[in-house]
Amino acid sequence: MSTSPTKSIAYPPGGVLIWIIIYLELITFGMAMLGLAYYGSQDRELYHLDSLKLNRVLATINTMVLLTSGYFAARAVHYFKQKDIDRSSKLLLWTIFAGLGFLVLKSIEYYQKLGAGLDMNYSPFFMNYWLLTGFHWIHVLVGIVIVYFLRRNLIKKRETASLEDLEAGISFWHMCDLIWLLLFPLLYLLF
Amino acid sequence: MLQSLSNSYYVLLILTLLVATVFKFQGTVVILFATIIMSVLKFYLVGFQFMELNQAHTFWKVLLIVYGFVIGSIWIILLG
Repeated sequence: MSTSPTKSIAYPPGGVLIWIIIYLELITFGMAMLGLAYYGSQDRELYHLDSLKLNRVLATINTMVLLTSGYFAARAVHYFKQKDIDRSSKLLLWTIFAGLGFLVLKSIEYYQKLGAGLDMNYSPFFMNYWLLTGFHWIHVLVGIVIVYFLRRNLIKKRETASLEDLEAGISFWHMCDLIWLLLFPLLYLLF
Repeated sequence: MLQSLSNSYYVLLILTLLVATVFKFQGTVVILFATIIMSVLKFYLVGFQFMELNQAHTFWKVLLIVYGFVIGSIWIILLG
């Protein structure tokens, strides 16, 4: 009986190395998020008041933009498997645009916060906000660079481009989604 | 495959809007539970549908499920 290579423990989609990185990143962000939840539980009132100073509408739109980019990326992998390289590369381009949209919206939010004096030294909540969202912002930027190079490689090599490379790069991109899906409720809604 | 990706995407958008809407009624434990559960559900949807973990070895599936469960449970304990 033959088994799919991805059913092997050593071959998750994208390969084992990218998944080790993904889980290490999730654990790192997870520890920081649990730290924020713990300290927030010690002083709910203060964290609640600080949380209200964040722009929830912008964050909700940003979540939808990031999910849309993830959807484009997942479709790009699907079309690559179908050997529809043109559609796959077009979807990777839309992934990049949506990722840039996320960064721009987040930067607008940062600009508003800095203008209101809500910097890292304002309170423990905002120190966590800047560190967590700042590191996430950098991850999205790195993800955009990765998707850009994946697309360039795809256009150059067409059908001979590596599926594992594409899956690994796109898995990194989805990891940014995963982290944001936990950061969004914790920072903007739960306190 | 494409249809299930699209369905997952629509569910993710609906859950995001729901999470953002229910926060207006914050202050009750039920809303906090609902927010955390919907957020963890979205986390699983991206992991299993977009990242195709549904086609991976059980080991990788269990790791993601455990991660989401642990984070969600600790949030409920600390903030509930």
